[in-house]
Amino acid sequence: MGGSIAVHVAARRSLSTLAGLLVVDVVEGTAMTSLIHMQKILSSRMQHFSSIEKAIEWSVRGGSLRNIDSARVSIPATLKYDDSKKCYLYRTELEKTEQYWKGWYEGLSDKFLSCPVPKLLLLAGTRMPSWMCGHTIGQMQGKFQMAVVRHTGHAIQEDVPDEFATLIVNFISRNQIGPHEIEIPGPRKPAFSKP
Amino acid sequence: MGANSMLAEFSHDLDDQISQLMQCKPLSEQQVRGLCEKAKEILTDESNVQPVKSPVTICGDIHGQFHDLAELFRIGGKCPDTNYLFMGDYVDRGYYSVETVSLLVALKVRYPQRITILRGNHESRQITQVYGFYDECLRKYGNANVWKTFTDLFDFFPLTALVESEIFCLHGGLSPSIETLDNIRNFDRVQEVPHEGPMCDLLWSDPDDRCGWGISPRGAGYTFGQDISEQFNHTNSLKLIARAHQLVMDGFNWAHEQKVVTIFSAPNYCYRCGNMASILEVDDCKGHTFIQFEPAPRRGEPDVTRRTPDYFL
Repeated sequence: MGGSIAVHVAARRSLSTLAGLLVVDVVEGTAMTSLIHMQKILSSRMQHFSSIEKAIEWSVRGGSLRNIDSARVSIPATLKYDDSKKCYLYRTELEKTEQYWKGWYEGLSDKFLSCPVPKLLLLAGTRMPSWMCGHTIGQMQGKFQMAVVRHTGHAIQEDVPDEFATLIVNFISRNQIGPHEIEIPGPRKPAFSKP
Repeated sequence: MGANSMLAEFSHDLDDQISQLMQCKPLSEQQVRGLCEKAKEILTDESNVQPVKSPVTICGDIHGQFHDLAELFRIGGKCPDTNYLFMGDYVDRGYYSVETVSLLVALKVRYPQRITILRGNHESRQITQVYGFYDECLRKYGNANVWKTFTDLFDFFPLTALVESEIFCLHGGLSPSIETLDNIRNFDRVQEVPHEGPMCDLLWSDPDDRCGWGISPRGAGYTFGQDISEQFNHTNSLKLIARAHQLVMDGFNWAHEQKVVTIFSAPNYCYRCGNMASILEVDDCKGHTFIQFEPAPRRGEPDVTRRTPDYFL
């Protein structure tokens, strides 16, 4: 839901310093059609862990992450220790938030496209055929950049952090975010307009 | 005598291949290889700014929507009775990229003076591995050889065309590195589409309401304003820039006070966008007529595997 939060905040235009919007593998169409499967997916997760190490191990072996180094960093914060059951459980009971899921994703595409800043949508290439996902009309009208990252699951930033970082750096550089402008190549000095 | 009969035999084989392709049946791997070798010979002799005579019908993106391409030929007229200029993006996204690009290449080989096929940003190794053509080749041939054969051929496609010295045609748009048509004529196009630079810009740029050059939201190419296109048209004695690359809901869209036009020829793009498609007829008195069309009647779409999604809340 982080992607949804980012889009909603950007669409409100209340952050005057907002320079760009990057959304990781969240698309309204895919999300809405997937919600009916979500309770089943949540219930199929392992729920109890004797140690944090076991939870990390499961997240890579049987869960949705692929990078053990990243899981070591990200998984501990998702757990809490239950004194009565003497084991680790997920901190957030996602199953109980079902009534809000639809609201997180409905209208997300239009909100995404309405954001005035440069936009990058990253999609995981091992999901549905990637070219069937996404804001098809907006992309083919040239309104945002899309990058499909292969050999990764949903958590692109965890599974392939180096490639992820490269994509962000290139996005920042290309859109001249930050203090230094980049010269446009060419035989003459063209007029330059900022969006 | 021997040479003539060989040529006749080749044409006959080619007609058989075209008939087969018109039924949306893929060629064999061997036939594709032979076809592409022949196409390479023909395309090698074409210019980066390929001259085209009117009358000609100018077409935009097809994106593997074979049945809609058949509809386009039904409405616009069969090749070679009608001359055609296609501005790239034959593959990816639709279900029938293999049949679509095979047919257009076969028509090019059979009637080289009657059809011009330009390169789009999707005629590229990198893009086709992501947006469907590679996977489709694997599915239909069991290996990637046909994908490799076609992507090698794509390097030979001309980048732009010039209709009666007045209408400049290309897939994307202008480049800050290019002022004259001779700038385009002079570089070596036989390469993978680079990430940046003039060749990239020709295949990726878009016109914009704002003046000057802008950073393209797409991540490649530039946006260009009316001042830029006016200068380019004036410098090169052009009347019109015709380009594709952008989905437009009516199938065509004028910009820059009717000096730049976008043509999109894949109706109901991706089988869900609900857009019209169009083609532009330029008659031998240089009159312009847009012909809009809707999707061909759907037959059952092929099954594409959908996996249960990952957890993403």
